[in-house]
Amino acid sequence: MLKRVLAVLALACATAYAGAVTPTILKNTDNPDCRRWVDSVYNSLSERERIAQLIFPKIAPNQGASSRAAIKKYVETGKVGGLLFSSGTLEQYVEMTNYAQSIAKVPLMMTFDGEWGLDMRIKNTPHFPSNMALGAVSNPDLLYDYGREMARQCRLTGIQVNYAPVVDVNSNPANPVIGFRSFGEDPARVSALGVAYSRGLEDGGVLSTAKHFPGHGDTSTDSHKERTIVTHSAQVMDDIDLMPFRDYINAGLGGIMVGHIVVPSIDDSARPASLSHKISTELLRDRMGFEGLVFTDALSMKGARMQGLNSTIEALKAGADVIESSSAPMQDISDIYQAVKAGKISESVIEDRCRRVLRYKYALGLNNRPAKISLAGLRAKLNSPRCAVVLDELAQASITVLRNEQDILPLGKLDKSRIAIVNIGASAENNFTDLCRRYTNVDVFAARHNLPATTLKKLRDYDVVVAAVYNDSTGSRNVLASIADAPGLVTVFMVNPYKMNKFHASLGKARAIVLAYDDLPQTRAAAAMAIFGGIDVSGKLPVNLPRIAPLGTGIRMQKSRLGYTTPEARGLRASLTDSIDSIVGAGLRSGAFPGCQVLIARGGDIVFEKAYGKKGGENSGKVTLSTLYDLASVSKATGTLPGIMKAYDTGLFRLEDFASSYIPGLRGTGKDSITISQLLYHESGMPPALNMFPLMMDSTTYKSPLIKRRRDAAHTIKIQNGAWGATSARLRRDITSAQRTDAFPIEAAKGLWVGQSTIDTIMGRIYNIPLRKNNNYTYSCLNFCLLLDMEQRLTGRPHDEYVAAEIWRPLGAQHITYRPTLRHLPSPSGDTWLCA
Amino acid sequence: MIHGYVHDETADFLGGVSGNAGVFSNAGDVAKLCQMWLNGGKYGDATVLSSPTVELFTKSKSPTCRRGLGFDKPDTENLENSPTCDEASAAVYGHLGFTGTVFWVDPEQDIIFIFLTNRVYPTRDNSAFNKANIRPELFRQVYKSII
Repeated sequence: MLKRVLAVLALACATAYAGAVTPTILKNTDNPDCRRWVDSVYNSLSERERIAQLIFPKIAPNQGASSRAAIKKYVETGKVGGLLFSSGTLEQYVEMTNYAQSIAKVPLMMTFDGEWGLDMRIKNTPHFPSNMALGAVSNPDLLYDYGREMARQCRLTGIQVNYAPVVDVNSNPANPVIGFRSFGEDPARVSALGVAYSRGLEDGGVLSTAKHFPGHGDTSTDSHKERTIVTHSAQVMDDIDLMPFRDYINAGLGGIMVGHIVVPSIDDSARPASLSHKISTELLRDRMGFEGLVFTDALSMKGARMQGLNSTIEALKAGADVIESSSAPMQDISDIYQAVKAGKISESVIEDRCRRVLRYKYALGLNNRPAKISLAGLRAKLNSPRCAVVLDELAQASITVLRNEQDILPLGKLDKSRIAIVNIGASAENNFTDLCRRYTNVDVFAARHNLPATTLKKLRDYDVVVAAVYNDSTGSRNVLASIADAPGLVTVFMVNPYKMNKFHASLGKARAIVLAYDDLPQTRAAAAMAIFGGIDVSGKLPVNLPRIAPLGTGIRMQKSRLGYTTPEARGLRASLTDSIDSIVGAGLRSGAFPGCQVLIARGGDIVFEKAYGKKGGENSGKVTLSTLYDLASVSKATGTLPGIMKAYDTGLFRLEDFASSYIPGLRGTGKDSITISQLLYHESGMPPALNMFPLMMDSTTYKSPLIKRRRDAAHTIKIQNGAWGATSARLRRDITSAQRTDAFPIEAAKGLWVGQSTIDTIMGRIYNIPLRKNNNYTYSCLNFCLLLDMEQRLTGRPHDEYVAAEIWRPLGAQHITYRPTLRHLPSPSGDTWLCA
Repeated sequence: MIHGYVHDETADFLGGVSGNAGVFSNAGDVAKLCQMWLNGGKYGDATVLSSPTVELFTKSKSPTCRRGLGFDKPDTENLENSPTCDEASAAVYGHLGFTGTVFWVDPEQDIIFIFLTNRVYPTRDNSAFNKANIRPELFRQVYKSII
């Protein structure tokens, strides 16, 4: 608080001095080696070259030979101090950076405009959420991580300075140029997040540049296009706009970019801040104590023009160290040279600024010529596992729930609720809908302009309609308006809050409003997880939306279901993915199995889930994550056991109870004293399995033996290696049927119907089967047949219906099932062997 | 989307619902069940089992053999015989299936591992699968990757 008071006083009193803070990034420059290097370079430069160190032209890297020609002109001839590239590919950036550094007399300071990551200027590189999304993040440590990660990517790409963060406090919702680029309208949050990000960048060896001093947040015009005025009083400037810059300076951070904004309350001469000595020097340096590097915003912008004045010379006179992106860099160097010769700019100004630039070059490691950047593997290094973790964490932490009536979120009652998703302004299939499907059954619709009447009617039958909005087009607004009164409407916005505001008229009846800010793969995933409880939700609205929600709104929600993230995010090495791929790949190649699914979860999140190979032979389809597998004995623990646990939980039996207490058929068979524990532990004395064939085949249709170890003329049905069945054997018709009848209503295989008498016969055989000599551990399927039998007798419900209703479906497990579909059923030919 | 192969005649003649076999699933649904156990019976808004019941069934082990109460467990005293990788502690529970399927839950490391396959293709005698020892080998990778 004291600091605030002092700062306000300082602003009011031109002679006050805030006390300078040396930027931390210069800590390695306070030594003889740095001084020697700066001296020797400075002394080796001509007067013109010293001026040129302050000039950072902007070059298009995507013009091939003409890009190289421009670089050659500015770097070799002009000997400029640094460069800024406009948009291009990674290949172009690397090629042009390597070329430029190779011909520079003094290594170039490569600067970059990367407010939301390299992707802002370099195609197909990591794209981070916008600052507006990050303005919702409660934990500034995540912004530090982002800065560190961005620094790593900059260094890999040969960049030493990032023109970020934007720390403008976006207090004007109609601001046409800042908006989503800002952390929002709460100066304290903008400040905390901006400082954390910058600290990360600079700890990672890249100079941050807070912009656009003294604050571009409350403007309704774009300084790229026209003269832009901020009418805040000195007091408001100090309380709001300057706060993030002040905190940035006091945190010892190194770069500030001055904007082309006219602030009459600080300088009434109509000069934009970038050309104003009162702002760039008296306020920034003298009163706020900034000792770092001062960059102008791009001087080619219209907002930097002053009638009859050379804006480069004016910027220099105002206090800038670096003249960024002027329209005519070569002319600028000459003009400044002439101005120095004419005594309009003192030589000491040039010396101070040049030495400062050189000292920063040393701090950024540019006292040595940078190593050539290799393209080989660069893309993979940029898209590292660490990058994925940071992207996921930022996206998840930004999700903001603005409304959640009757706690409709996270969506519940998955066993009963009918859920529709309407993708508005996107196609039906994307990673948002894909991830929603992993939680439960959802029906997906999509529209860009309108929904057909039939769909509108259909949507009224759902308990929940999730409307996911991907843009603010008129079409999208019409679609949301058409379902605004859908029952259980949950809205999810993959657009910034100002764009969301345009939908306010359709939000009156929405039960929930979820703001995901950006349409990125990571924000889509985070939004899907948020509505199903796969992540903790903690985002806070970074701006005021008077018709929707006030600044700071954010309903917290606790993670309650599995989420999706990367191995690295849960303490597993990223190489796990390669290890699994390689082992599975070897298995597929050796023919050990035709396909598979692998799932690994840790800490409540699925970190690996992949389907490999095919369902069966060459021509069978590829397996997907929704392919169902025959679990075989895994059924004991996923089907039978959950049912038994539920029956136990309900108090229907005790583990020490005799199974015969509940299964009358066991009484008097020598199994009276088998306990339920013994069945579960496989210590009951039951033999391992029941040989079904002698029981199921009609003994009058074959001559004993039914099965032989070797194939012969009468035994040609292969059951498995070393088991050949009698060719003539036919199924018993007293306990099976070739057609569906009242007595045989269950289709066990194509053309094979069974019924209660079949089941009773089999269970009867199990009850009466002779026990082994002792009850040492022997794994037996029959133990679990008895457990299921007991459970059904205790609950009075068919097991498949019981476990589905009581366990599986409430979890949202909608695929797991007994008897999935008749299509998979085994096909006996006629009434012969089931396995034939 | 379903590959069904008769591997268990008992389950088939019982009409598909049998105590020993008969469940079909993808890995995602098995994971929900496993996470429910890890959460002590809760998942999402659903409480399907009480926490003491989950604790009893997931923590009990036979005093005389490696088995849990319905779950299979590592044989930490006889690693040669253990159904899983040597790295799995005594707290691990899960089950194997003849079709090559398996799941393991490690409550100490908060890990779920699920591998589903149809190794009975082309025949149930497909021996390449067992030779590859793929299930313990895959599960081992999870432990090896812990940072």
